Amino acid sequence: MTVLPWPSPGPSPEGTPVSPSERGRRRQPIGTDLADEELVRRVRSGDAWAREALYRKHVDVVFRTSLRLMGQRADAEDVVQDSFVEAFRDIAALREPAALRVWLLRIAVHRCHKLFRRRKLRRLLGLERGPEESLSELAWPESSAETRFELLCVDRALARVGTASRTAWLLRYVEGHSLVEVAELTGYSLATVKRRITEAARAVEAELGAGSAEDKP
Amino acid sequence: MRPRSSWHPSEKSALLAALSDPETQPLDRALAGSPSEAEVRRIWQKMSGRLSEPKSRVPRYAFAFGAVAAALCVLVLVFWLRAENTGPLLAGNAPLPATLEGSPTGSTVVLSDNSRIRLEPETRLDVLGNDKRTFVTTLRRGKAVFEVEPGGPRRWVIEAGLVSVEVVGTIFTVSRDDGSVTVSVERGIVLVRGEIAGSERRLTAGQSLVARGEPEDAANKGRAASPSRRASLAGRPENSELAEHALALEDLPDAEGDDTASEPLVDGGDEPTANEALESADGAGPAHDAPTLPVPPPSAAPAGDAVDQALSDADAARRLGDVKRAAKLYEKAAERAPVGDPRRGMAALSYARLSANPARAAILLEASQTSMPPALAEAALAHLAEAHGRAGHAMAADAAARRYLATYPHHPRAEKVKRWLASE
Repeated sequence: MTVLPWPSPGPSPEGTPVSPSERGRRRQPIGTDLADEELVRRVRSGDAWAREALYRKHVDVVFRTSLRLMGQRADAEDVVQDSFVEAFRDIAALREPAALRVWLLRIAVHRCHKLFRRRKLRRLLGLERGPEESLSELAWPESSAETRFELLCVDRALARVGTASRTAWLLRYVEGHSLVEVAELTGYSLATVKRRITEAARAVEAELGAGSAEDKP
Repeated sequence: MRPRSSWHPSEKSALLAALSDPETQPLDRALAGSPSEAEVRRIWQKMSGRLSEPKSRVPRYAFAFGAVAAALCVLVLVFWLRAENTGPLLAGNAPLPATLEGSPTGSTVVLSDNSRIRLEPETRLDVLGNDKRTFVTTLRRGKAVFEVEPGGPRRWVIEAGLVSVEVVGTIFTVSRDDGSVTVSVERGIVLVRGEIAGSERRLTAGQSLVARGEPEDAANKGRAASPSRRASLAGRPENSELAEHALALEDLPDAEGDDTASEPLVDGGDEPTANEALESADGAGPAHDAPTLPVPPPSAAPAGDAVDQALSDADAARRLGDVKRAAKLYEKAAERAPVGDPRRGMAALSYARLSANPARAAILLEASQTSMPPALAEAALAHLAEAHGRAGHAMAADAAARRYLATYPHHPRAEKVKRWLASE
C-alpha cells in the first residue's frame, strides 16, 4: 500500500470527530489538488498513489453524507469502505470523470439505502434493537441544550416519514444539494424528490412549530 | 452550492426561518460530520485489503441464484418422478382389465408400482376404481393375496362383501366363499370395516379375521355386535349381493366414536357402480357380465336404451377412474329415466356420490325420491341431507336430516347425522 506524504497535525483519537475549527487546519496530502479527471485517468492506469489521493480527496464528503444518513459512525465507516471499493472496481465504467464526486455520493446513498433495508428487516425479525437514525446524536458535544432539543424535534419529525423522504430532506437541508442533485443522488425523478422533500419538510415544520408553541408561556 | 448559512446552533429560534432556504445548509454546522484522521486511515487500510483481493468473476448473488435454481431442479425432478408413477395402475405395460380372474393353476398380476396380486384358482376380482389416488377392487369370489408396495401414493381398498379392507403398504390375503370372508395379514397393517364387532378392526402382521353373516369375527368370538347392528342385518337376505351392496353404501360409524360432526355423512367413491347396484337388487350378476338391467316400465320405453347406455358408460368411466365423465353420465341417466324407474334413483345416488356439485346432486336426489330402490333409500336420504348442507340450503338440509332421523333412528349412521345436525 502506498502511503502518501501526510503532514502530521497529530492524529485525532480513535473516533473523535474533527471539530469545525480543525477543518481548516487539516491539510490535504500532496497530489489531492489534482483534478478529478487526472486522478481518474491515473487510477484507471493502475496508479496506486492516485487511488489513495482520490480517496483522500473525497472521503470527507462521502463520510459526512453517510454519517448523517445512517446516524452512526460505525455504519458510516462501512458505507464509505463499500462505496470506495465499489467505485475503484467500477471506475472504468465512469463516463464523466469530472462528475466523480456526484458519482461517489450516489454510490454511498445507494449503499445507505441497502443498509436501511437490511436494518429494517433485522428490526422486523427482532434481530436488531439498536438506536434509530438520529441527528441529535451527531450534535457537537459543546452544542447547547436548545440545539439538541431542536435536533430531537427534527428527528421525531423525520421518524414519521419514510426512509426515502428522510434521505431526500437530509440531502437537501443538511447537505445543501440542489433538487436536481438530490434526484441524481437518490435515483428518483425530480417530481418524486420534490414530493418527498415536501412531505418531510411539512413534518419538520409541524414538529418545530409544535415545539415552539410548547415553549411559549 | 451556495455558501454556508450564518445560522448557528445557539440561535435556536432561527432554525425554522433558516429552513426556508435549504441551500444555506441550516443544520450543517450543528452536526459533526468529517471523519477523524484515525478513521480515514482505518477505512483505507480495510479497503486496501479488499482491493488487493482478485475480483471474483462470479457475483455473490450468483451463488444464491445457483442454489435456488438447483433446489428448483431437484423439486421438479422429484415431482416428475412422482408424476411418472401417479397415473392409473397398469398390468405390466398394458391397462388393467376391469376383471381379474385366477387361472386354473392360479395366477399373479404384477402392477406398474411393483405391487402384486396373486389370484387363486376360481378367484374373481373386479377393479372398480383405479387412479392416481385410489385403487378399489371387489373380490367377488375366491382368494387373493395382495402384496402392496409400501409408501405408494394410492389408497388400496378391497371390498369383499361383508367387509372392506383398506391398506397402504403390506402383504395380506382376502378370501371369500359363500358364507364368509377371511382376511389374513402377513406383513404391515390393514384396516377392516364391515360386518364385524365394532364395525372396524385394525389387523397387524400375523393376525387374521373371519367375517360371517353373523356380526362376529374369529378373533373375537363371543363378542356380540351392538343390538342395532344385529337388527339392521336381520332384515337382509343373508349373503346375497343386495346385502353386499347395502353394506357398501353405508358409511359405518367410527369405532372410537370420535367427533365426526364436521365429516361428510356419507362416503364418496368406493362404492359399487349403478349397474351393479341394480343388478344386486335383482340378484343378478355384475354389469359387465351381461346386460341384465331391469326392464324399464312401458312408459319409459323410448328412454330406456339411452338410460341403459348412459349407466353402462358411466360405470365403465368410473372403473377407468374418469370420475368427472362418470358423474356426467349418471346425471344424464337420472334425467332421462322416468319417474318410478329405480334406475333414476340409482343414477341420482351415484351422481351424488361422485359429483363435486352438491346443489345439482340435491336437485337430482329430490327428484328421484319416489324412484329410489328401498335398499338404497337410507343412503339416498343421507346423501340428500349432506348435498343440501354442502350447497348451503340450510333449511332443506335440516329438514332432510330430521326426516332421516325419524325414518332411521337406529341406523348406525343416525348418530353421525345427529352430531352433524347439532353442529349445524
